[in-house]
Amino acid sequence: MRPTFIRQMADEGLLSETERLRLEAQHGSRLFSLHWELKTLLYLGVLLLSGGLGTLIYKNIDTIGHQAILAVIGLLCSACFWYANKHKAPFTWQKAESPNAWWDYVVLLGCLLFISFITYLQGQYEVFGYRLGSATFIPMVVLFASAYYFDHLGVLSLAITNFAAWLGIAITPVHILAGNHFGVESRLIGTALIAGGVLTLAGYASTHFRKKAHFSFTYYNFAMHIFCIGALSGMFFEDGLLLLYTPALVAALVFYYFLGIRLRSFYFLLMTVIYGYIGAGYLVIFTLVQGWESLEMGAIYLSIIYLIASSIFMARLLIRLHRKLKADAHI
Amino acid sequence: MLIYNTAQLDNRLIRQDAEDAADAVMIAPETAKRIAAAHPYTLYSPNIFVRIGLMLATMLVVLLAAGLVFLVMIDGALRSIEIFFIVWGVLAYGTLEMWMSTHAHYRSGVDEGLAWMSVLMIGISLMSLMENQSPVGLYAILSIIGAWFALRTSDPGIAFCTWCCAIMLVVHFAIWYIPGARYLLPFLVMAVAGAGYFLFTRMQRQFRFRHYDLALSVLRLAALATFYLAGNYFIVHHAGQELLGMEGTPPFPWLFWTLSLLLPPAYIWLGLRKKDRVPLAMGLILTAAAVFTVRAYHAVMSLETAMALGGIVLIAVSYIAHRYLKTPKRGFTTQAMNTRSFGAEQLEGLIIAETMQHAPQPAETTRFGGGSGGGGGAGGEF
Repeated sequence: MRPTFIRQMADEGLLSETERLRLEAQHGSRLFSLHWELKTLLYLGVLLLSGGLGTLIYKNIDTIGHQAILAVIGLLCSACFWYANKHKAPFTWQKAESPNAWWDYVVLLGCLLFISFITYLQGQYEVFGYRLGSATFIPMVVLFASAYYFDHLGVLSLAITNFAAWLGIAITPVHILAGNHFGVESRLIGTALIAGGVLTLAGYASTHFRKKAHFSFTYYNFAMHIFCIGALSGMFFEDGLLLLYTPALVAALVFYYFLGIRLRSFYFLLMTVIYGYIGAGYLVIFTLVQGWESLEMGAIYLSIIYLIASSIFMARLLIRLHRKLKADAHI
Repeated sequence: MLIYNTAQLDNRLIRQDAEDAADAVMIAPETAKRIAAAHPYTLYSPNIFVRIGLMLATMLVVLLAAGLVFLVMIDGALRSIEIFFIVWGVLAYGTLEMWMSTHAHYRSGVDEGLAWMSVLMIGISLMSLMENQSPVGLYAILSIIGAWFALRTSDPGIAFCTWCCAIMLVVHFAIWYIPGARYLLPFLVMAVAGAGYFLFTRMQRQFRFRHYDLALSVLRLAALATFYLAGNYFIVHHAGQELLGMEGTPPFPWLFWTLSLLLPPAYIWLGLRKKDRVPLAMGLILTAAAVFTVRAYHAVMSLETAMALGGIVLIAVSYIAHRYLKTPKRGFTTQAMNTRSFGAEQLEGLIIAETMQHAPQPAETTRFGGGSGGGGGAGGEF
């Protein structure tokens, strides 16, 4: 507490004498936490090491060195898993507390190195054949298993990304729009809806069967975005299928709206409101453009006026939702 | 100077401080409750998601309203497009001032949306209006406008933009008006940045600047970064070529190399010594800058070898730190404090999924559903 506030609170009689003395003594001698700094260093270290080693094998593919690099990756990977297994908390279907940040990243490094190893073996010797898209299927299985065994949200996110890659779609925040060409490949829209549906089910199952219930947010998060973006793309790009994709979007929005209310999660509420805003805006403007013959420039004016009105409505809706769930804001 | 009700902001700080003290078991939970009851906070400061939504909605409304009026008066507006947007910027600012005097908002998204729209519209219009005139005048005006907005709203982003404008002002002023400045420029910028750092650090310690805390932290980070970049060999080399038309290597190469390599560890040392997160974070970030500077001139090893070795070093450093700080020592700990920041774990997971997509994959022939490749999702880059 700032010294001025300590004095003010003491003058107002809100602090007892011992509390005042304790606060004044504490000022300036607080513990300084290096948690996030060290975590960032670890993250960067793991990122660089796994990326560097992953590239090194491919760069040295025809030299003697690459056997050595392969061996190093294998050894490091086993060491990581050995260490992680030795220090992990006993397995439970509830949330298991991780021993520390260092351990988290050892697990992650182990998983990443294992994937590099598998991918390399597959690419070089085709050890697993080509059925079922095994180059992404095997890493996916390993990642899901590790995520549940070690209770690791980062590995779970990687596993979900891999699941989507196995279906043939990019799902991470940056690549979800840039990496998928929804307008060009209509197959992707169906894939997005399937991926979204399956992940929603996975999230629902996590809470329903109480198997790692704290994983459900991660499933729902990826699911909501890929499903809504898929449905919106369907509305935008698939001529004549508006009546198919609009109900799909509405269904997803209704589901995630009530999920947001139940979990008291503003994140889901905000996202439903934004996706709903985009979908409704598209429908209204689409209708107005259909009537271009009779409306002409009026269509543009009406569109802008609609967008202004609906933005104000969106703001008011958010404020009202906030009031409704005020108590505590969760993610 | 703030557009907000400062008595309310004080109550907010008091409540936060009390909550922190209660979390640290310095005061009884009942005391924290009594303090909160005696210091009610009534401004509208919703959570981050509502804030983002309101900010988006506000910016959309301002932009769309501008677009609508633009269409209505399209002939006149097209002829003086900059003036049109400056007028809108001023209108947005007026709305902000009026809104704040009648509505009790603080960091609700509405105030930030209005402030940013206003400052962006005015700033960009001025830039395009004064394109052909001396940059000194432009940056002077931008700095003044930015400073006014930063003082009124204490918005860290606006404060940062203002700092950048002020540094550009110093650079252009020196080039235009000070003879021989081309040799002094790095030192001049370093002097300004250093003075800025000490000024902001002193201000941050003073009670009366308590509501500018975040903005001052950002300004201190910016000042440290500017100080480093002004002395960085790569920057000095390239800025010398582009801005001043100098050729060959800069004078005193040894001096700039020393600064490039020694400042980041010096910042880290300063941060650890003073237990100050600002120089510590900047030192860590700039260590990467130092590595890139060296690599720009001397490619001592291949990129992937450097990545693997750098990774090993980083992991080793943090391992040693974790071991050393297993129990808190010298006032440092590795335990997370102030864990009120929600969703950090989820965010971490997302960042991992985004950046750690694994090694390149061989092209696949079969796909689920039998389409043509295309998606490829994860991978594809390394």
